[in-house]
Amino acid sequence: MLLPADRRRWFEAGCRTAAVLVLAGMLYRALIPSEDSARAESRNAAISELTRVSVNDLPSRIHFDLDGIPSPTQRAWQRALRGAGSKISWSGNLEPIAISIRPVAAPSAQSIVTATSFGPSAALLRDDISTIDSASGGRPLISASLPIASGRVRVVSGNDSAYATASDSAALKSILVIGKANWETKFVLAALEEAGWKTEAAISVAPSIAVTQGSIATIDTAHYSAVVALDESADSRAASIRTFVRSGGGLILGDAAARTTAFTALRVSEPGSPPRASTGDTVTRALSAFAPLRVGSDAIAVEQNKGMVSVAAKRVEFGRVIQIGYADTWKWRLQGPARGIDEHRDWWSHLLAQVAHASRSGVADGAGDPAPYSDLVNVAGLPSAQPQLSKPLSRSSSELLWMLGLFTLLLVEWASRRLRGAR
Amino acid sequence: MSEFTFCTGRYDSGDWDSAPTLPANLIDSVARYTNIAVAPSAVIVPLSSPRILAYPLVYLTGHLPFRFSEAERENARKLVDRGGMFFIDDHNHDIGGVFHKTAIEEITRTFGKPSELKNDHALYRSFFNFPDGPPATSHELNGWGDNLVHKNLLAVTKGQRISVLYSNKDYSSEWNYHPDNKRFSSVDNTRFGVNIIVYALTR
Repeated sequence: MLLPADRRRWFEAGCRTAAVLVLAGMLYRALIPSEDSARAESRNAAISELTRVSVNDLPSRIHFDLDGIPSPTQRAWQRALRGAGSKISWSGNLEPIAISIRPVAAPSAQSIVTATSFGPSAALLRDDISTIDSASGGRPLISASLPIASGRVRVVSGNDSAYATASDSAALKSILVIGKANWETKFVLAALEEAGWKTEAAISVAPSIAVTQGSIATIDTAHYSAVVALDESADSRAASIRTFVRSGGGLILGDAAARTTAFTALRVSEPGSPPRASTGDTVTRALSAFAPLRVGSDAIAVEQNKGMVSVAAKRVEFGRVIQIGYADTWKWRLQGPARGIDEHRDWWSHLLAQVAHASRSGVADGAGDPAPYSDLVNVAGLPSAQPQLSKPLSRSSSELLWMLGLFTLLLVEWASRRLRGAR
Repeated sequence: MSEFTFCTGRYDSGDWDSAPTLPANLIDSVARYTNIAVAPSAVIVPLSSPRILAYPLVYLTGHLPFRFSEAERENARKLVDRGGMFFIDDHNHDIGGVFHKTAIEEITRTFGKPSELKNDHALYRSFFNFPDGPPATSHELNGWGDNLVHKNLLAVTKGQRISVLYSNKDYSSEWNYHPDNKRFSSVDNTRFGVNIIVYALTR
């Protein structure tokens, strides 16, 4: 049986041994890579947490509990941590948000902004000056035309936002309208002029005589963005129009032009039955004479009328062609409803915008954060269930505990020796 | 694509049909000189009917007082607002006459005040070339009506485009004959009519 003095010496030896073991453990932790994990909570806490784990030892895994999409800076930090070897994961009830700006080849709008927000909060589309549009929660898409192609546009939903900056604008050239002297040619030309397109025209009035508007130049993309060939009077220019389209120009082919052999290579649809007029209470384009189009595998239907394709499009090398089956769209303008004149103008302008060639000219650096949620997924993957990780303590705080334990052991051992009179 | 159809507008107040062979004569000239697809027969459409909007060029003439009813005025305004054009000719060739006075008043009320059309206007070059402006008619030269040779036509314009063309030159008498009789003329006097139609179809 041990005497109390012996027990005390055994206790002191135990303290010394424990202190040595603690020191050995700390030495081991210093020399061997850590298997520790860290967890950051909330978007606001993440930056301080990221700073600390980045300047101290790097954890092998970092999990983020997010209540909002991290900022671009935070995501850049996450990306850097992942590059340094940490496995990044996250959890949280976040909804995608994104925005895009693309220049449009149309005189009325230089950019189309499209924003998506799937969150329950209302989404606001804003530029540097004011709110452009809004959508109630759950409506995923906002689209708006902007007359100015520069500046930052942002979509905001709840705490999250995405923004984009126009990176280029479309430089339009003239539109060449070719047709015979009739009401369709006249009012197509009028509609395009009213919509702001710069037009030139060659209107055939007699064999080898044409009324021209503007100085008709060589048909190429340096002079024209698109050609509107309404009928067979464009036959004599078919070869140059073919070259124009193949090099990127746009073409709208009227039904009468598409029926000629000169445009066989460019037409979207084989000629079908001749246009027939429909009847109805209100004259719209849908009720003017219309020939159904047969769309091949290389084309798409742009518009349908009573289940039949009335407008179709296809790509021809670098250019685009739209063929329309309507023969007398002018009646929509003259005999249609009160808004018929506006609808006729907008319809033609919209068609033209889909084919018009426009050279791009840069006006801004294109900077932005257009899809922050997608970027987060690219960095940290899809959201995962919260893993069973260590408490959100930092490595340095656990080391403090180790140091405190070591100090306590040495103090107890020293006090025990001094109290029994040993040195 | 629909062809051009010559349309005479029928209005309630006067003798709208005072030049019955003029449409056929102009249709003959359009077919003779141009490749414009033209309907072989003209139509007569009441100005008060919405059917008038199917004819973007409407010819009006007469000798008697000229006044639109409310329905006629509304359709006439609508036609012009949507890009159509009126050609109105004073069959009296008399600026002191009743047609001229009432027509100018009605044109001013419905479309705005007409002004003199410059003789270098595109109308005079739209197909045939008339460097001196509107061609004189035999009725002017023979001293009928007001005994004047009118130097200019009148017009109400919308932007650069003529929406109402008004004449005191009495083309309704000048062109009112059977087209077969053109063979007796050294120069076809309906050529300016072709200019009006080509202008309406191309501007």
